[in-house]
Amino acid sequence: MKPINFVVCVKPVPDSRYWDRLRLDPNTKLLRREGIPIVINPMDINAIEEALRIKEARGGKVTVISMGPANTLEILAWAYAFGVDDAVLLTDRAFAGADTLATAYALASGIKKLEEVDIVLLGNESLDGSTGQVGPQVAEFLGVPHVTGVEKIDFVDDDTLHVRRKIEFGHMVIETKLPVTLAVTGEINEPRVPSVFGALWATEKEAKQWTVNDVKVDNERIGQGGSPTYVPEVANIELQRRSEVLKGEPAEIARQLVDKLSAEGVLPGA
Amino acid sequence: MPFELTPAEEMVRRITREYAEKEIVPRRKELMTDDREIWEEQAVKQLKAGHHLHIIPREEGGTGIGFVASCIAVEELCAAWPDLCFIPYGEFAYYFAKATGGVVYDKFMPGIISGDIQATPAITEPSGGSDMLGLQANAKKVDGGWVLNGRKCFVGEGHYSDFVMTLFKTGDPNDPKTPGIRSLTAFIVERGMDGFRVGRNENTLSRKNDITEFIFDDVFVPDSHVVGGERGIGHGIAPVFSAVGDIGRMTISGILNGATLGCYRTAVQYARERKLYGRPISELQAIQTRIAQMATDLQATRALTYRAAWMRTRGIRCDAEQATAKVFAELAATRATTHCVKIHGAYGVLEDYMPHHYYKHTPVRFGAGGTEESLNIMIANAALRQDANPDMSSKSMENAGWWGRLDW
Repeated sequence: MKPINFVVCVKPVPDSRYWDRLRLDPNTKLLRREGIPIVINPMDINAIEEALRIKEARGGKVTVISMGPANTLEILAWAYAFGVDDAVLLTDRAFAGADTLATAYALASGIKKLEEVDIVLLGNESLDGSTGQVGPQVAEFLGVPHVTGVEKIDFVDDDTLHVRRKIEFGHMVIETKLPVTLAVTGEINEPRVPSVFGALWATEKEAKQWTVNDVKVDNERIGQGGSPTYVPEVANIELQRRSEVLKGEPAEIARQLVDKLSAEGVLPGA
Repeated sequence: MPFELTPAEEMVRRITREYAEKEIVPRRKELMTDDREIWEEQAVKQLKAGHHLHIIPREEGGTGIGFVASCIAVEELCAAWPDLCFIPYGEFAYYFAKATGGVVYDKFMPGIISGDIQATPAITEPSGGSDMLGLQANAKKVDGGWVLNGRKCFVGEGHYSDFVMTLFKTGDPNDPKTPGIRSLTAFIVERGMDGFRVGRNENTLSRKNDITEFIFDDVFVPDSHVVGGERGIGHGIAPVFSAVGDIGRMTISGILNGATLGCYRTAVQYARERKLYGRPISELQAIQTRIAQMATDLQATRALTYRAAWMRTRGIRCDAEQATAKVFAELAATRATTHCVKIHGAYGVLEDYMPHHYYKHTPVRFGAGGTEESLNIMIANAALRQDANPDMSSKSMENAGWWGRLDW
């Protein structure tokens, strides 16, 4: 069996335990994250788990990569606690303010610097942005195929995978060659609790920190300047309740109810 | 004095909390109805996961992070459920194997590291535990070993133990050749040895089948199983006191602190969610006072426990500090569990809510690791002998001898 080298892209997201403290900044239209602990995006933990399981069965190496300010090192320490071999943080003011495209470009540039990567894994989408775009974009920048919505990975031989992809009302099985990028769902596995030795790995291993000078990038394509999209407006959706008492015989009430719901456009096919 | 946890200790808290949130919290409903299955499962899983390895040095296969990490791990497990914690029994196994050495160490150590072996001390007898010279169990020397007869009781999770360390009389305390405590010797007794069996399991405030009785009926124990070897004959108090102090008292403090922590978390969340007079009860000053008292007790009890544990990791004498920590942990937990029940109003006493469980588990720890009364004697003795170190000077701490200490 050929050993497999993995890169797992991980994103720092605000810890859902503190979401009641999250506020939107009315000027920048971004989440105000100050004072809110960050964690690894949950589906990215599924990606780490899958990489570790395959590595434990076949041998190889698992490297995690992330992009963000220096406090992102905290989540990379947590990745070390799970047992990954190596961690890289792309950290530079020039990377800041990136949309999904500029993020994927930067991540792909970092991955290219790592030697011989067989499988790039990441969560299908993030807990905060939920665009699901970074996976396919990273794959395009790397020039490798990608599969999203992955809920199972099987090796056919050393270079061929059968990947089960979740779709509405079913699944597809896709055959792909390595190298490949796979965006996994939360159903692919049940992540482990880190080993108690993870407390040592997390505190003794140190992530590499790369700036724009360490990776080959076109400075026009990273950070805010390299981001073709921006958020022009955010709005809170307010849910309201209305009540109205219908009177009459049951059949009559039912008729009135259907008419009213049809008028509101909430009945299917109405 | 450093007033922060090391990064590794912080990580231990996170990892253990993650474990508790995945393995224990989702199953609280089962635990509330006294389900045995989860106990059987956790008795294996917790040690397989290695939560007992923090006090074992790295060169012997542990994480070596230390006693503070152990207290933190115990605390996090017991915050999830106030007594579902097998860490002490993995730690005891190491402690006893280490104290005994030789074939006992070689036989059990691989299983201790892999989490397959548990052990417990068995000291207390139906007539009591604090009065060591009043112990009835006795051992007679025979060729190649000793024959043990007696009964030991009130042993926590004893029915899961693969071996026990127990204290037997090997002489007469009134005989000048074996005066006083020189009449006591500690032995390792393995499950499966002829004549050694588990008696009845007792039901406690905490749950059914909580504590165990051991019966020793003409049990032959080879010389290799005398704790401390030949030197250990008549010197059984040192390993027993060290184990009860270092493991027992520290983990019991952790267990009680876990109840305090669990109550604090539960009460804070409830106070923020429960509405009265159209607003959360957390806005009522009467509730805020209770929360403040819980927060104060939590900080104080952690500080005492962690400091005693830190001293132990550094090899500094800390028997009085361990006693202080346990006495205070008990008081803090008693207060915090009461506050938690009261903040929850009538819900606080329902079996379907956590305050009920934190509250009723706490008294189960009053006797374990030494009663408040006997620990107060230790604390007072240290104070009156001027061995105590309330100034926390490192100099005087390191100069102090430790009469009951194992020399490893």
